[in-house]
Amino acid sequence: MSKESLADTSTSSSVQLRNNKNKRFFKKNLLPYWLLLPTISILAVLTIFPLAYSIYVSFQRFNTFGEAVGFHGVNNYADVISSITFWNSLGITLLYTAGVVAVEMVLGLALALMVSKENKVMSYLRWILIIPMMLSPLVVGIVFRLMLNADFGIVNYMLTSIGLPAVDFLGNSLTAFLSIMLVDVWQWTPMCFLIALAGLQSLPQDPYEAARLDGASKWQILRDITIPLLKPVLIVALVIRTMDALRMFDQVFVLTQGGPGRATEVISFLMYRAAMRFSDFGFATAGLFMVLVVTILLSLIMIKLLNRTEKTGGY
Amino acid sequence: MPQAKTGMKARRIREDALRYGMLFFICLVVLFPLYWMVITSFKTQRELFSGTQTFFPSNFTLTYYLDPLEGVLSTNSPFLGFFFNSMIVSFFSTMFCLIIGSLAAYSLARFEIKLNKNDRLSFFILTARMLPPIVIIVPMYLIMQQLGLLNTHWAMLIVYTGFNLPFVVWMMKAFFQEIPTELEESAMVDGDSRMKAFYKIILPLVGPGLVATSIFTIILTWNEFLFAMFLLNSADMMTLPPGIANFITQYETNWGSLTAAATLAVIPVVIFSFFVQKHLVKGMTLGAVKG
Repeated sequence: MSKESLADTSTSSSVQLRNNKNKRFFKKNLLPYWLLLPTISILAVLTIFPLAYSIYVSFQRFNTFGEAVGFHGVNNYADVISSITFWNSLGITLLYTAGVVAVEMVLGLALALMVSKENKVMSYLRWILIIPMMLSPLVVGIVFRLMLNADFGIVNYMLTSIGLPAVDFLGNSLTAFLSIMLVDVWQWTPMCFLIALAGLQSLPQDPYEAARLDGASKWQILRDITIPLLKPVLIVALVIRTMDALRMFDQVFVLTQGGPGRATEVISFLMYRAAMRFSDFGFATAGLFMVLVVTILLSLIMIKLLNRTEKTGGY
Repeated sequence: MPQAKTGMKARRIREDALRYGMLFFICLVVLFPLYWMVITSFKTQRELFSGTQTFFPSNFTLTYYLDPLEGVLSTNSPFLGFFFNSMIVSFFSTMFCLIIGSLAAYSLARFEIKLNKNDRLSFFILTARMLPPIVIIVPMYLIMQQLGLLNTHWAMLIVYTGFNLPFVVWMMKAFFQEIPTELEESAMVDGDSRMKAFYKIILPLVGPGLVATSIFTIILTWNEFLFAMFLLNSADMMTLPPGIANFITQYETNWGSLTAAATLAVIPVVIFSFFVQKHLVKGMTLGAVKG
């Protein structure tokens, strides 16, 4: 930050004088605030205002045409809490998030360890490995829908050609749920991989040399040095992936539309359905508020975790 | 001694073989869906639905690209319109984002601001990225309806500019912080104003960062589906993701057209991602990890 670098340069008295002048200039000047103003005002208009508006909407009653027809009190919230579909969706979302994030973190770290060596082949490999996360989740959903098709999908073709029975992947509750998880893992493991890789490449080398001299095994080095040192970086990956998995929508929209039944109806899809198909904006916004509370709580916990490791760990 | 050495060498070769073998398999898993998408777009429907799957089209066809009825590139298809709309929306929202966001990022990276004690302001900006879009979408829809902006590119520009701003601010902040403050200080001692020092010295130095950030923002906008689906409803306004989603319902079984559209939509992103690999980490993690 500017403060530290200013302090670093203040060796001679003339520099000191100049820096003091600059500091005063920085403090008095309103320029930094003017530079921030457009961003802050846009964010305020686009996040705080809609949030406030949706609090208002969540207390309104809506008719079947999607028109607000009067004050509804906390009834929308009561409706949400007493609705089985809401709790079902919340459960599915949390299960899904926990599952994919765990798998992606492990796979991502393993991959990063495999390609951390610096050479030409590895740099091309890295490019290939990150392609999935650059693609539109919608397109990814379409491609997997094609491949997982029960009748002419390539996956079933391969299964039957080695003598296994064909599976109706998207037509069966359990396999549909596992399929959207598989798609998520395919697309987002690269994110965890990339963050872990960046962390690996910035680790200090000294502890490794010491461990090698002590004759530590590879597994010991991984468990006692790499993972503890990498912890802050891994938490960054964990936070980002958790936030994104909680709001997952596109794949479900393309692959299952929440079905079969409600087996893959994640929370964003439930609220989308409430808002767009049934025009029940009150129910949707009330439900979304409760999701927002869950998200904020989870992120606060994780940011706390992050801050703690940042203070103790030496990243 | 020499025996032990050759033993170690053999072990290393074995390890390397195992490692590259596994990596080859993983690359296959990563690339196969893309390969399958591309070849499906060149296959005839009869071949696709025939009992045996082919790993290369036996009757190579361009029907789903060029045919006047089924081809996505023909003038009868709305696809080129979607593509064009996506280009407009991505380009302009990215431009707005970069101009507005870089100023804020510069301010956060360089000045001591009371509001930003302990990076509080930076975190406020970051929370806007963490907000699930679905929470904002219903009120946003109602607001755009009131403003009469539903189904216009203006609505998309406003929403995307706002939602990519936190990302741009965090990423550019990381790039600005890498430039030593002495550079602009010496320019200011030479009599330049701060803004002039910014234009003359800082901007050229963060050039690569600006390019990387803008490519990321373009990719994020290009892929965005939820807002576009809610706020756009006529085919002449739609961007690619909701447009392609419409294809699903329209041509339920026309996998040729669907995969052709998907292939064309993916090409720019894959090309772009090749150029920003190096800066990827900074972008995806909002500068939290040094890339």
